[in-house]
Amino acid sequence: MKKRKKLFGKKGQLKIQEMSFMLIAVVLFFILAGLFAVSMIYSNLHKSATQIEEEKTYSAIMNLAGSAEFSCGKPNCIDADKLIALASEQSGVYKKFWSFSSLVIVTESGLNKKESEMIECTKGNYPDCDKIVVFDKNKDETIKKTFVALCRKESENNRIYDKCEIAKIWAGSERK
Amino acid sequence: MRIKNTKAIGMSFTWLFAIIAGVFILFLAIYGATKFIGVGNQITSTESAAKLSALLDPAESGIASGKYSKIEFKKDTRIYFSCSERGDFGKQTIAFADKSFGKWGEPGEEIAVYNKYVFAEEVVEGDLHLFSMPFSMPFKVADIIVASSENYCFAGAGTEIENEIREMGIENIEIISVGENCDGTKVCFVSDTNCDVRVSGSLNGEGFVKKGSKELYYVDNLFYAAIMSSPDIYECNVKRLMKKFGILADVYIGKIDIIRMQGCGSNIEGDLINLKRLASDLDSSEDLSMISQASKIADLKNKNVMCRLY
Repeated sequence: MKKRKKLFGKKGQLKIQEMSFMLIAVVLFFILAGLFAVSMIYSNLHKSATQIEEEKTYSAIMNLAGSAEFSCGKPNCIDADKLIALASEQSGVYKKFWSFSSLVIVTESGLNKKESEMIECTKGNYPDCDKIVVFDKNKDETIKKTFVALCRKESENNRIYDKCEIAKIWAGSERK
Repeated sequence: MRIKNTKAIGMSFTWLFAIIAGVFILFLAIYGATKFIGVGNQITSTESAAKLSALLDPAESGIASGKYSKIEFKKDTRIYFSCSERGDFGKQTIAFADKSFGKWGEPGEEIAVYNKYVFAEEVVEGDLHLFSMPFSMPFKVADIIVASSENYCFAGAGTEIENEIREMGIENIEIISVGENCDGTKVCFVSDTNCDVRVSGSLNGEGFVKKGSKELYYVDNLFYAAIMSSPDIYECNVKRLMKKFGILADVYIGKIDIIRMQGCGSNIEGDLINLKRLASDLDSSEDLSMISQASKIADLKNKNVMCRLY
């Protein structure tokens, strides 16, 4: 009788062990499947976040020349004098205003230069410079570009006039 | 007898264990699946709100006097707008929710927008009618966007407003005669019955809009914004506009220094400093009229010089 009891006890224990191993395996399977699904969603989320950011940059850059900060009052035209005042005094404030990671205006003289060779505009060297850096958050980014007219006040023989030249807006969107 | 009993105990334990474990796993799977669907909906709603904020850029008027556009949704949607005046420019948030299986889902994450001034009710349901106009005081401050989904009837609005609505092609504003009934929000410009909103003042001038017990004061193009926006969002966005006005006044003061180097002086530096002070002291839309008057004087001075600042 004792032998039989022992045998049944061992059989029961074995069943419990089998069952618990099975349970652990099932739970582990669900956890792994869940992790796989989450990682898939997360990578897609990153992709769509970057895509939306790029779309936002693209749609914003097309309308930037008409904004209060940039507009010279004519279509697709930027006021360089206003911009240099903004870049030198209000740059920090405007970092959060637009969703760009960087915003740079490359003047006509800088169009055929490498970025490292361009001279950054300050109040001191303006207008003899190549790029007006409104702000740069130094992020890993993709850059969208568009052509605009860049106008500034110029004097010649005591005559003041608006001098306009071709320029490019570079707007960066952060890679997520 | 004893052996039979032991067998019975063995069988029931296995079944009991299997049932408990099965129920636990099933519960876990159902719970996980519902959470998964919930998170999926949240993601879709958040993505939609982010995409909507990108769609607001082309809706802006730029240098045009006004622009109308309509966004149609395939599903029943609700857009939640809120506004905060904290920070350099304040911010506006947009959240999105849609209907699934006949029930409204939870709104997705709020998307913060700092460079948009959207005047709307707190919750807008259905297709979105957007129209944008520049707000100037005296220089351009921003493009304001008025977003609405319901129908409006303007009673006794006058030909100037009627022409503007027709030229812009705004679909959800109907011009009606005094005394006529309206299927939507009735906006009265003259004494009439069953008015939801009463307007006192002129288009593009100054005046106020009465909504229930609240009076929203407007100047320039804020006219439509005062009619179609919730009082809280209107007052908050007016304060945000004045914050931006202050920053832009500083930019123009900086520009005076730069154009001075070209022998091009400006006579409105003092006016800009005064306007900036008035804007920072603004308590509510009621103070707009005072700033508008001062800005008109600065504008006249600016127009009378060779070298215009803006």
